Amino acid sequence: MKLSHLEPTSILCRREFLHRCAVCAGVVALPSAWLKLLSVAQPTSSDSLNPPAAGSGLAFRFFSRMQAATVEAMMDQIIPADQDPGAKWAGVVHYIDLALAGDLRDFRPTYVKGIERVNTNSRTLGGKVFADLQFVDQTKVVEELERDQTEVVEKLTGKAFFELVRRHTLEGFFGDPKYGGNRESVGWKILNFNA
Amino acid sequence: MSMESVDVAVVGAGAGGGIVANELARSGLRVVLFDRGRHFSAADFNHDELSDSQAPWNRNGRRFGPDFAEIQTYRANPESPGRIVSSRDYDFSIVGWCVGGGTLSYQGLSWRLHPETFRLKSLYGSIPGSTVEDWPISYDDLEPYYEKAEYELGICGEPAATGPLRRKPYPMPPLDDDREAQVLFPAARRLGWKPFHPPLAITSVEYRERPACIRCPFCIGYLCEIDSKSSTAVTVIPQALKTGLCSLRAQSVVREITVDGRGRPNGLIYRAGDGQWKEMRAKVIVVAASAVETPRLLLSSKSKWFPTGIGNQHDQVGRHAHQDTGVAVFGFFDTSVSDGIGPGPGCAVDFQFQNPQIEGGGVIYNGFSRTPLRVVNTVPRPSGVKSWGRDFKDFYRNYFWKHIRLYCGAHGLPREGNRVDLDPELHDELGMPIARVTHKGHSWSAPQLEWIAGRAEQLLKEAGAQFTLHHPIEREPGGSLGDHQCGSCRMGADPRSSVADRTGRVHDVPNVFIADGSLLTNSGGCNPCLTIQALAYWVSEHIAREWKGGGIQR
Repeated sequence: MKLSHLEPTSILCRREFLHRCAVCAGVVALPSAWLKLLSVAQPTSSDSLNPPAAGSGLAFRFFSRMQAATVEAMMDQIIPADQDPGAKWAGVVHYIDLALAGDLRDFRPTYVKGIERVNTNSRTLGGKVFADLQFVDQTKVVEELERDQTEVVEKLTGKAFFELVRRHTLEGFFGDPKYGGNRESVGWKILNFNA
Repeated sequence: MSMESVDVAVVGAGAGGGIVANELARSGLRVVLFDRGRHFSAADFNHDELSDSQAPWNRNGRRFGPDFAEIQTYRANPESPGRIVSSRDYDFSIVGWCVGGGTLSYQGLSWRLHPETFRLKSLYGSIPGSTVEDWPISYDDLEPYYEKAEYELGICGEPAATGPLRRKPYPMPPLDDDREAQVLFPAARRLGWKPFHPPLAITSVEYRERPACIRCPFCIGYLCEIDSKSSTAVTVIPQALKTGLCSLRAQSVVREITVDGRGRPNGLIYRAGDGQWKEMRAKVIVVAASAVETPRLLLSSKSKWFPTGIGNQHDQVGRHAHQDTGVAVFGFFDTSVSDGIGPGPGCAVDFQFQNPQIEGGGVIYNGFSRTPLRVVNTVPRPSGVKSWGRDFKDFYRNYFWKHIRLYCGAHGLPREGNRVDLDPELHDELGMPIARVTHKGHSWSAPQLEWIAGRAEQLLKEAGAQFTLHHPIEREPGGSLGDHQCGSCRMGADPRSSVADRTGRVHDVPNVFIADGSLLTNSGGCNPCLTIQALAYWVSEHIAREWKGGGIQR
C-alpha cells in the first residue's frame, strides 16, 4: 500500500494519518470489553492483545524501530492493558516520538541513552532486548530502573529517566489526542471524562 | 528623540498593579503599566491540559509565564548552597508572568484576612525563630478597601458567621451547589460546624457586562474562556485603558529604577517589546511585580545614594519573605461524589482564631479542577499503590469521580534567615541578576496544619469517605516560595524592620510605592489575593491624595 501521498505536514494531519493507517492495517485485535469504550469499532480476530503499533507499519519521526519498540513496551508497563486498553494501544509512543521531533527535542539524548541502558539491563537479565522479554520480566527491569541511581546521561540517573518516561506516558495517555497519543480519547474514556 | 515622561510608572500588571493603574488613571494621572509577560485574551484558551495550563505538567512551559529560560536559585537557609531551578520545576517561585499576573489563571479565592492576623505579635508575643510583627494598619482600616475590591473586581460569596465583620454583603450570590457541595454541607452541619460558600472572583451572575460562569471544569491554572473569572486583566486594566490616560506595555521588562542628581528616583530603564532598551521619566514609581520580583528590582536599582538598592538602607528589602501554608486532604468514596462541573470550591469551614488550643487555626475548602492530568499528578495513592502499573491505572480509573479534595490552609510566619535577594553570580539573558530565594517554613505552622487536616478528615469521613489520604506535613517545609509568596517588602511602623510605611511608600523615599504581596506583613491563613487588592486600593488612594496636595509631584 502506497501511503506517501498522505504524508502529513502538521501534527494534526499526522494524527489523522495515524488513524487512517490503523484502519487500513486492519489487523488490530482487541478484547471485546475494550470495544465498549471505543467510538470506532475495530475488528476482533482473537482474544490476545493487539500487536504493537510499532509493528503495524507506521513511520516514526525520531525513534528507530528498535527504540520505539523499547519505549512502547516501557509505556505499556506504566499503563498496561487490562479490561481497558493501555499505553501501547493508545499510541503513546507516537506522542513522545512527535514531541521529540518537535517541542521536546532537548530530551533526545536522554531517550537515546536511556533506551540503551534499558536494553543493556534487559540482556543481562533475560538475554534479550526489552521489547522481546516477557511482560513479567519487563516489569523486573523497570523496577530496577526505578531504583537506579547511576547516571544515564550527565546529571540524569536511571531513576530520573524512568520518571521522565512515566511523565511523558501520562501526558500521552491522558492529554489531548491532537498530540499523537490518547488514541480515540481512550485515556479520557476509561476515566469517563468528557473534555 | 525626547525621553518619554509620565506621572506614574507601575511595574507589574498583576493583582495589585492593575488596580493602581486604574485608580490613578481615573484620578487624572498619566500612567504607564508595565508587565514583562504577554497580554492574553479569552481567544487564547483551549480545553487542553497539555498546552493551556499554568501547571508544571504543561509540556511547553508555564502557559502564563515565565518560560523555561528563566531561572532562580533556591536554598533552604543562608548556610546551604544554592541550586538552580527553572520554571519547569515545581519549586520555581512563581506567580504568573503576564498581564493579570496570577489573577489570570488562579482559582479566585478571595478571602478577607481576620482582624487577628493584623496583630499576630500582640496576640501571641514574639515567636522564637520568627521576625513576626504587627501590621501598621488594622482590619478596620482596610475593611472599606476590601469592600471596594469585592465590588470593583466582582466577587461572589456569602458572609460567613465565622468570618470578619463586614458592612455590606458580597456583590454577587454564591454559585449554585454542585454535587461535592451537596455532599459536604450536610456533613459539616452534622458536625455542628458552620459551613459557607467560599468567596470567589468568579461571576455567579452577569456582572458589569461580564457573563455568568458556565461551570467549566478547566478553571484553576487556566484563563477563563468567557471572562467570568474576575482577573485584573478583564476588569480594572481594560477600565484603565478606557480612560485614555493609561498605556499598557506588555512584554516589557523593567531592569532598574533610575535616580536623579539629588538622589530622588525619577524613572526607569526597560526593555520594550521590540527588544529596544529605553528610559522613561516618572514622577511616581509603583512596584507591583510580586514578592520575588519586587525585591529583585529594588535591589537591582543601585546608585551612590542607594548603594545596596532602593529602600534597602536598613538591609530589609527581601527579608521576611514567607507564605501561608497548606495541605490537601483527600477522601475516597465508594460512589461518585462529583457532577464534573467547575469551578471547584463550593463549601468552606473557617476555624481561624476559633480554637484557643491552636494558635492561628485554619480554613478548609474543597475543590480543584477535576481534569485527568491534574488528578493523576496530584491525587495521592494508598501506600500499596505504586506510581505506575496495573494498580496505578486501576486506582485512578476507580476514584476519578469518587474523591473529594479538601484544601487546608493555615498561617505562615516570616522565618529568620528567609530572604529574596540577588544571586551573586548568575544573570538572566537580559543581564539582570537572577533572584535568589532563601526560604523555609516556620515550625509554628505545623501544629495548625495537623489540627486542621484532622478536621478535614473528620468532615470527609462524616460525608461518607471510606478512607482519607494526605501528603506528610513537614515541620519546617523546604521548597521555594509559591504563588502565595508575600512579606518581602513588608509594611511596618519601624524602618529598621520593614521596607514600606503604612501607606505602602518605601521608607525615606518619597515617590516609590509598593502594591503587591511583598507588602503583606503577614500571610494570613488563606489565599492572599484579595488582601493584595485591598491594599492596592489603599495605596492608590494615598498616592492620589498626595498628588492632589502637591506632595509628590515635581
